[in-house]
Amino acid sequence: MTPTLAVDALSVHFGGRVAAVREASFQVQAAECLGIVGESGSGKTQVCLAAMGLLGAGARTGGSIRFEGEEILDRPAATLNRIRGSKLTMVFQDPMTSLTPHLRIGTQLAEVLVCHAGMSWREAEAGALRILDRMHIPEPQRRLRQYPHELSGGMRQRVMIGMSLLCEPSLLIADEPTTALDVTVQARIIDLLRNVRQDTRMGVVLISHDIAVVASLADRILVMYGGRVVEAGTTRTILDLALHPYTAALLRCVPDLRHARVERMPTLAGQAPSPASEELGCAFAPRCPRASERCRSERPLLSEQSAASHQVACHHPQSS
Amino acid sequence: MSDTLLTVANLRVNFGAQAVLRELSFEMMPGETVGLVGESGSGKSTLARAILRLIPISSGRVLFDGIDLGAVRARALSRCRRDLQIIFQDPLASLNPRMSVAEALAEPLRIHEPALRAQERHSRVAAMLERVGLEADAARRYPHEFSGGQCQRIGIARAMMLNPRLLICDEPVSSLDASIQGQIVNLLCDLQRQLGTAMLFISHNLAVVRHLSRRVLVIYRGRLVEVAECDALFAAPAHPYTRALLASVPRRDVRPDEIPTPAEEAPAAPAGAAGCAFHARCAYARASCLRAEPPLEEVAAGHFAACYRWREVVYS
Amino acid sequence: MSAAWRLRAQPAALCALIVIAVLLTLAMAGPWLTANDAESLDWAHVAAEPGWAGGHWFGTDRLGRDLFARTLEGMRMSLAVGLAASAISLVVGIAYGALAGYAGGRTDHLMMRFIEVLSGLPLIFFVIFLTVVFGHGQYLLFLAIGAVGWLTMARIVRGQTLSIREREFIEAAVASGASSARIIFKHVVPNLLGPVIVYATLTVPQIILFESFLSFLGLGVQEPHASLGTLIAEGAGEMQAAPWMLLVPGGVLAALLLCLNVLGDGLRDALDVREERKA
Repeated sequence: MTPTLAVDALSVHFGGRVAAVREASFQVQAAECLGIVGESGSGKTQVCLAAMGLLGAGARTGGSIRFEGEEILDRPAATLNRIRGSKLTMVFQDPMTSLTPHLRIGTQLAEVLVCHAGMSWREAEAGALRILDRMHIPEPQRRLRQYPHELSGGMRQRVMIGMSLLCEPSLLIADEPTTALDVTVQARIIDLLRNVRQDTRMGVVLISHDIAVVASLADRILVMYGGRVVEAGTTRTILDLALHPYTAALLRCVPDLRHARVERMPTLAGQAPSPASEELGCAFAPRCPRASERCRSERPLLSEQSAASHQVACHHPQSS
Repeated sequence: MSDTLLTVANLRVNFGAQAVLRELSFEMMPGETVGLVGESGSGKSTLARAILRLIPISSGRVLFDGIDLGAVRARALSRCRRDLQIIFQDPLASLNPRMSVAEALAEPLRIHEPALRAQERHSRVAAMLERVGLEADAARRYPHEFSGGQCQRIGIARAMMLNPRLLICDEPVSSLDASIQGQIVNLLCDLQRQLGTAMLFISHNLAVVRHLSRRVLVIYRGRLVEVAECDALFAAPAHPYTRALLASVPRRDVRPDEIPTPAEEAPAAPAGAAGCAFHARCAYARASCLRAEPPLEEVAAGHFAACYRWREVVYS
Repeated sequence: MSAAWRLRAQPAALCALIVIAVLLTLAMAGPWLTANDAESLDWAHVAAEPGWAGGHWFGTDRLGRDLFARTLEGMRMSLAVGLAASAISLVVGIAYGALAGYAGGRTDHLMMRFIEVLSGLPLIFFVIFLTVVFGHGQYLLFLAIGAVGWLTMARIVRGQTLSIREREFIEAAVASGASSARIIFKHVVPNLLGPVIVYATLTVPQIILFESFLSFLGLGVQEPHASLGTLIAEGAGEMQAAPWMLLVPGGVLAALLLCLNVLGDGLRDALDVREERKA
């Protein structure tokens, strides 16, 4: 079964010194939701921009990305435009800046259908109305005529998600779709994505710095740190048995309101390494409570653990 | 009480015809941490700015240390600002990109203690940098060279330079990664313990508010809908909105379909619409809720909720 | 400043800077470079072609004055006017525009209307008026041109101030108890210097051109002093017989203007990148 997305040893460099992504490999199967977790600077967004062909000028890449068997890394815009926006779509973090401010919502939605599905404008507008309805946006007729700034953040994000579903994509990449939103709205958006997945056989890549958000939707989780994949496994496995100290720390940061109040909020000390810094040994070593001399000099490789398809890159993985 | 630090009385703020804050009243004691929880558009940021007199007030009063901030002259207001500080949501945006960290931290000293010699200013800046966990050489650098978390530390350092009596924190960790938020929250806790600063901590994230606050105020569409001690609020919320907020925090173990979520944000109620503002989104709503805006009722000692049906909420 | 560093990466702007520096040096060092001065009349070489004769490298004009020396003096005059008038318009424009933009409301409204009224007045008549009232004078020229040049600068500064005023660090400064004056000069102005410096660099050529135009008309620099404008005016008259009289000052003016424009563009690019780059 050809995976929908197959990333193989992907590297993304800027100007020689800045390594945003270092040899990342993973796959997304049809109808699967893969969650990618990491802090700012971990490379999680760059991976997806590479897949979409949206990397900034001056980016040099290595490795391969195959979408439904076809190589898409560094392909010319003409080739990519056949699949971008229709079969492979992306939702960005800030819907305000990803929607064109001076065009009405209806126009922007219809445009997708006209360009990719070859519909007439009238048919496309009907399609736009249908998608707004499917996204549970109240008063869809009125919304079609409105401009982005007239909608709330949550509403705009729904429009973005709707826009990416118009052509029934095989894969939707959602880059921090809820980070800019309140918790209540966030919960609704996650709910929406869940429902959409149930209705279609669409694959989803969900990126976030919040492991709880990812865990509520994903089938498999990928943890990235310093541009590398440091742990990968099914959601259940990772939640129950996080092997990498970084993953374990991320999970500790998830609040549990049922327990008694603790005085210190759990957190991760220090900060993530900058992509411009050199890699000496394990990137997490400076912040890791389990780090040894070996960690500081020898970079751990991603290897399979006892549980099926559970991989971790650590010299001293946790054992629960 | 004469030693109340902050009194907000019937505060009303209108932006044109739109009422953003409506008849808001609460008090804060010295050294206390109060959490203010609400979603985007609830007016919580407006409240912060109204207290600081960064925006004009339509009616009502704000008394800080007994001084009516609305009635006082510019010079006296400037003096009050020594003791009343704020940290912002976007840490990088709140720092002047053309000012080094040292200059940014020294500015409050230059404004309020102009007689201070350069040497002393220097040492106080260095001391504050250490207190917030930044390296000494950060002083020379510029804001864009720091990460979000570090920028927030700089913002905190700047706000604390003059040892204010009240620090208003306007969503200080919302733009930070989940794993870093705790660093800033813990820092604020530490500072509060060391310096006795009162804090008004504003956030849409209940989980974060929980760590700092002794009391929590929940705001919805410009009104306080629940006021309670922190533990009481989390153990037994009395307002449907608070319940929904609590339920929205994603947990690692709960299966997705078990989370009840509030209905999508309803269109803004037309001005002058009677009844409870939360009606359209409320699971407990009845026709009787549209009669009039529910007042804050005492549901337990020190615990108030603005809901006609709070008994169902608490006991269901 | 890191912007200066980045400028190094722009070859065109760097060349322009070097050329300007060379011209500037020549202009300042003028009197020492050639044995001839700009005023003495060499009867032996009247309207002579450029060459080695009598040390007149660029030839002489109708009265036998050395063109090289005169061109250098002309350059000095034009640059002086350009820079001085730019400086005046910069200082006045920034102060006025920042004040209007920050004050907002009616004050801003009134201040802008005043500028609009002034903009409506024809420049030439204004300069003529000043000249008539105060007589010809070098410094008057600076003042007159600067007095006119500040209008657009003020508009630009006001526009920048309006957008900077909304930024959060201004709010933070107000919350700190900073006075309006402090905010304007320590917070607003440093942050608008980028576009303003670029614009200033681009106004210098405009001002030099304007001065040349005035001088061409006889309103600016008077005999025996020279500016590039007067030299061009003279040279235009002699175009057929002694083309070098036009080509030399004309060429220098063109080169100067080109370099200033290129430098301005380069500065803009160098300064903009700084704002965009984030972690």
